[in-house]
Amino acid sequence: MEYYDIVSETCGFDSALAKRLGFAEIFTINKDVAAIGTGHKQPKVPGRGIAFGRDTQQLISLVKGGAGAVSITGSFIDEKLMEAIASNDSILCMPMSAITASTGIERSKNIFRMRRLFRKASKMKIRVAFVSMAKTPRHMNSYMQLIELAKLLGADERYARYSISKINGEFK
Amino acid sequence: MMRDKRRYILVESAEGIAGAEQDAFAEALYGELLKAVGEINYPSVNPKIMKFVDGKRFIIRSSLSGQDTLVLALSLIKSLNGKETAFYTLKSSGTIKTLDDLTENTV
Repeated sequence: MEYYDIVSETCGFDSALAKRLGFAEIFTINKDVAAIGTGHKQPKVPGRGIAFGRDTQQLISLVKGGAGAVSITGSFIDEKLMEAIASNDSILCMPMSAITASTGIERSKNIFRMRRLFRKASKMKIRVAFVSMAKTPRHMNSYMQLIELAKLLGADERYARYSISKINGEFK
Repeated sequence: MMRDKRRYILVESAEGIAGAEQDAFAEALYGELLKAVGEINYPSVNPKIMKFVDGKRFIIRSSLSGQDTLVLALSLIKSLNGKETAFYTLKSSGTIKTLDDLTENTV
């Protein structure tokens, strides 16, 4: 099974580290995967891309406009957005850096919110991609760690492996 | 008496570990693991650094049932002794020899 991850465009990791972490490939935002939405009005690379942002209406229009995935900042749940993601067969990206980069009570809150988001996505049969979205190499994880973080959010081992392998691989 | 089943994990540190600081590093890591895992779960993980492979990598042991918790806890530790760092779990095995062979081949 081959595993894939997505990191932020500021991450700047070396390819040898990616190999040691057990990934077949690590995609970088705006280099390998298009970023669309707030602050990313013009995608730098072609493809369906990942929509970012806090504006729910804008995210809904991006999803309806063909965004392949949505990364929800703040892990809030908006029914209409979730319905749009489900009906357009888009992917919901769960950025694990929200857990690994925070500390203390903020980390606990993020885990709680992301668990709730994952539970809701599962009920609506939305495909979920567990990605590190690391801004620095310090916040990157090996595939083993990414699986455990996915399990922390309520995924079972089988779905965690499927997500990190097949769903993350769709960004290739 | 039944022996506890154990797992061995090869871990890479983002920051180098100086030879003279290995004992202090181990103590600090156990402290951070205790914080991440919690006092109640720590005994069931039972982590122990078995050896330092080189200036960045080491092999840590846990109970079989505590392996998942240890891998998760290592991903949450981002500073040690006030210095920013990270820990990547590279490989796990049921025997330390397998990891020894692996590290010998990759040095």
